[in-house]
Amino acid sequence: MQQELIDLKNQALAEVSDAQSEDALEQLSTRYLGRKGLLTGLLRKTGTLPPEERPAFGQLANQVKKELEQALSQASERLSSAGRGTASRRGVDPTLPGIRPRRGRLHPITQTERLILEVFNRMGFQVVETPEVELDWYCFEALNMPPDHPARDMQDTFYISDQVVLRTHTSSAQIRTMEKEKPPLRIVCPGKAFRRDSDATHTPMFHQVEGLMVGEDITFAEYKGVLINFVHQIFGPEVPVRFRPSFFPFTEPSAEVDIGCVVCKGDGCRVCSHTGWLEILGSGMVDPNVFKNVGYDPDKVTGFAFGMGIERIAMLRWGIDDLRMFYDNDLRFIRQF
Amino acid sequence: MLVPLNWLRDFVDFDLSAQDLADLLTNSGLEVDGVIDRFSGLKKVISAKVLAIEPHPNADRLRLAEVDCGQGRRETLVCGAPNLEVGMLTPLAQVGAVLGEDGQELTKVKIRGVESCGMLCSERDLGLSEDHSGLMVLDPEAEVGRELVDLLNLETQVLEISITPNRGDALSVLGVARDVAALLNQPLRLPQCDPAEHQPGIEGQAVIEVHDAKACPRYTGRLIKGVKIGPSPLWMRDRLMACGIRPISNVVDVTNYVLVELGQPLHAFDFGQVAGHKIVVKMAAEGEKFITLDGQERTLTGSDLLICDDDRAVGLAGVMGGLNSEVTDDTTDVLIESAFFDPLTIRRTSKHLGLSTEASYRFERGIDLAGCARAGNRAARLMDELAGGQVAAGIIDAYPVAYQAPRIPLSVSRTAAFLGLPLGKDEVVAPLKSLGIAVSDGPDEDTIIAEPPAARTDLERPVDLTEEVARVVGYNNFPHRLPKAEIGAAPRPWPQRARALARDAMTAQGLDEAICYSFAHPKAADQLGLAPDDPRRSIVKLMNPLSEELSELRTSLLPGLLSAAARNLAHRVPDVGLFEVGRVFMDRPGEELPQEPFRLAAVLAGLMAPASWWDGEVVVSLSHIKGVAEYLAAALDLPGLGFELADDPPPYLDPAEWCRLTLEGRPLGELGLLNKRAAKAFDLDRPTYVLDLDFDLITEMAVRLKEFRHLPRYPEVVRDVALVLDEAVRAGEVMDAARSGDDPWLVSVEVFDVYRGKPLAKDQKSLGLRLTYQSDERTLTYEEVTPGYQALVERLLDKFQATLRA
Repeated sequence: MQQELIDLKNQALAEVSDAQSEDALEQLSTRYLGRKGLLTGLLRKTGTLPPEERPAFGQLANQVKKELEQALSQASERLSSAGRGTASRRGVDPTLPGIRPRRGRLHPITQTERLILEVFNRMGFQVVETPEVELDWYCFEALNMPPDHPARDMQDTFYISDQVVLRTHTSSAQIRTMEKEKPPLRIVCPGKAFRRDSDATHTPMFHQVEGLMVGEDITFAEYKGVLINFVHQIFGPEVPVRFRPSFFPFTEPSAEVDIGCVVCKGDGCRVCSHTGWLEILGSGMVDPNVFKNVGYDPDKVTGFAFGMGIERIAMLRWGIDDLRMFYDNDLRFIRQF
Repeated sequence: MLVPLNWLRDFVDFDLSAQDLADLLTNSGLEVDGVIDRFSGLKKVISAKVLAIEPHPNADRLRLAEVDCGQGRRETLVCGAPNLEVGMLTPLAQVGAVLGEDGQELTKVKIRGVESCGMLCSERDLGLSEDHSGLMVLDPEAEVGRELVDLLNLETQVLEISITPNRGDALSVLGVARDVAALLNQPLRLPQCDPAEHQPGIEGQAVIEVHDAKACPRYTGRLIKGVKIGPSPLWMRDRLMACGIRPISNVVDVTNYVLVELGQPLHAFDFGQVAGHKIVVKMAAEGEKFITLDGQERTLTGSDLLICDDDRAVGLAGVMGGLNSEVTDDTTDVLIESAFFDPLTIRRTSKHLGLSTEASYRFERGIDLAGCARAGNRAARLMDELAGGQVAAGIIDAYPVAYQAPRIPLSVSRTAAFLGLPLGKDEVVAPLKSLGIAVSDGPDEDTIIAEPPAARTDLERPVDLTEEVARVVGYNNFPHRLPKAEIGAAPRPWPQRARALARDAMTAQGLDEAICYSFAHPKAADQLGLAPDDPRRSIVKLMNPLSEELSELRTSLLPGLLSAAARNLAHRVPDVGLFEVGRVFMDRPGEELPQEPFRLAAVLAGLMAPASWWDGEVVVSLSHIKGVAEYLAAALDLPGLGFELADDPPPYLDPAEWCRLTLEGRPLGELGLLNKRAAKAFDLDRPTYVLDLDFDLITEMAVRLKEFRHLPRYPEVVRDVALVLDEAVRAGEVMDAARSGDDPWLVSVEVFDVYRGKPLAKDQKSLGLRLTYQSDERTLTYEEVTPGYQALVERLLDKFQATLRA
């Protein structure tokens, strides 16, 4: 009977090594080791042996069983590492692209606007929105730009009627807000603005974020502090910032804020016109005349205001070199962001 | 404003490179856009002395000139100029020089067999003038071998400065020099102005009458007799050209020179043409015609200021002179006008005539009221110098109210606090003084009195002076810190949040966001086919559009999106899904401002996604655009979203594939297939579905805060039924009928399958419904729900003459 056991083992091992699939191995395992398997059958006959032969036969049988189990598991490993085998036979190809839902994109202007507003929201600036078609008073006159003021030449205006314009800047939000609310206040106003200009660097419609902070102790230092903080949050804490005197009728002193060129790091390149600096926003301390126009007492409150072009900041962030791309709504563009 | 550097050096010393000077000015408010390098091609052009002349062996009209190039170096050149002379000093362009408009670099050449290492030049060769009659003649005593641009002190570098509208005073070389002097703490040198005078004086020879002292607060006249008109010397022509001004003649060039130098626009009248030798300053008659220097006839209004003589108008004050009194080659006597005209008057004239000149530009921004006489003197002195003639003694100065500087009190402590730097009195006073502002002590220790010069019309209030202090100190030298303010902010207003949620819901479905112009083409309403009384024809029109296609404001988002979709399909983007959330503009009769409602629109055109291995090509359909609306409604928790079928589609939708959307019965918008006519109007050749919603209603109706509902305590029982129906029966009707029973346990009816094809007949379809039964009191059994289920099925079979699918 021992010989019978050894023959069985040899036969089983040969069949296992010939097996070409997991299924076949499965069948072999059942055939030999299963509850009604051949090896199990032999073992059941142990009782027919003389008592003195039983321990040796038992030992041998256990050894055969172990050997067989080992051979089966090695064969299984062999089959799966030989690869593809199992998976491809189930119709699964892991190298196929995954099945995924489409993801749309927010327009880069919306993304940039969110980024900017988030910074100011964290500093407690409330978001307000005001009309895009605006009265001359809000767009110009209350902002210290009386009729016939040369500063009106700085912005070519679309007129609806003599007294109604497409706002040339979001600064009108300053007046609309201050007329309604008492100081102190902190606001930002995102939105569209319009100027009668169309070339490689101007589109007749564009987006701005206006900001205004008014209070009792708001000095030049706070004004610089908030804007430097903003720049560092958007462009990184290492970016140099400079304040360059400029002129806006509704601020005094006024400044353009420049950042060190993000492309050439200040060495001078085409993007910064070889100056090493990029203009990113206009700003200044609120002109006392503006306070008078909204009924604030310029002897009691001071404040600062700023306005930035969203397109400008988007272009710098992503290295976009053509402003007009923003309004072509070309999906090959929008889907990049 | 173009400012040549050597000219600037006439007034202030600086030891800075052009770029450093540009940075200095830029950082103090005079923004330098660039530094222009002139004559960079003339680096290899030197002064050379002609030593000997030989005939050219092979050409009659050419000669060989041996020249001394300095430092003992000699060259022989081929030259064809008629004025070549032994002993003359003339420019030599050596190999490597770049001459002419085409920028050709000079190389060694053989001319008729003789090698020439360069070229002797005329003024035209060097780009200095149009003179090509012969070689340029240099002062024979001048240095030999010197670089020509240095020898002639040519303006090689010019700053291009953007002057802000408040800084009219900086529209001159002297004005810029004043800022440079203040910033570098250097003295400012004023130009020599007073001319040598001769009798008889101007009084008695000329009369000046100003009839409108408000429009013309000051008018000065200077008379020069016996001038000889001719070209200006090179140095003056060079400076004018460096400033972009074409030289004309000595007298005219002087007026332009002084304009740039001092910022005072001048006019030179041919005194012989001034009838009665009398100047009258008065308003034009309404409709009066006048021919300006440029030969254009202008029609004037009663608020245009004219300069007249005894008979007629001779100049349009502050804008342009008249053709009838301009200085010509025959002019011998010149009357120089140096006046101050009211900025507003000049601005209005310039605007309504569409005529902006160097003069009007400066008058509009305010010039130096106190400087008129000085500028007239400076011009007289230069004319005397350059055109001969005798300056008549004296000046006529119609100046009824002399400039009185405003006395502006400035608190030192408040200035320091405002700027956030502990500035002392001296640190406030010094910058002001350096800018030519007179400063005296005020009523108390803390207050100073500042009196700005007349040129600084922008300085009126303490804060204006604060800015000047800050400018000179440098904005970047002040400290910065974050404000101390009360923390806490109101929540983001709901309409803004609703729009953000909607945008995110749209992108989550794979649609991309478009931002279209708020402008619209006048034909957009017709492209959509809007009826004459459609509210979207209440259009706001621009008075001064950029072009016809941008001449109105949009009343619908659809035209912009449809055009964008068409462009994208043309670019071979197969799957166009675009949306926009934005304002439209509706004119409101009787209201000054239009209404600006927000809308949300979406367009699906072509495929839902690029062909994929799992879905293949899925072409857009009504179900897809409807799904977009349903998803949006779910994202914003819109209550009672309804889809209504009706027979009156919007004029751009296909009557067979559209529906109206409602929120709790209130009209929300439409969705559907763009009909053939509209598709053609927008050049769309693929099936296109649109969605157009009233976003303000969405904002209003959206449920901002939902109430929690307990999870079902007992399991549900699900029963399916598949009905074979006539094709004409709509799923919605069947679902409505299924829901209409009174079975309290039926909690949902959903479509899980729609099938057409064998073995069904051609005009039949199968609709699979999944019915869910649930109780919140106990666990239902399959058997329990069966009677209700069977009743429901019977009802549907009966109502729709359906059969059960085998």
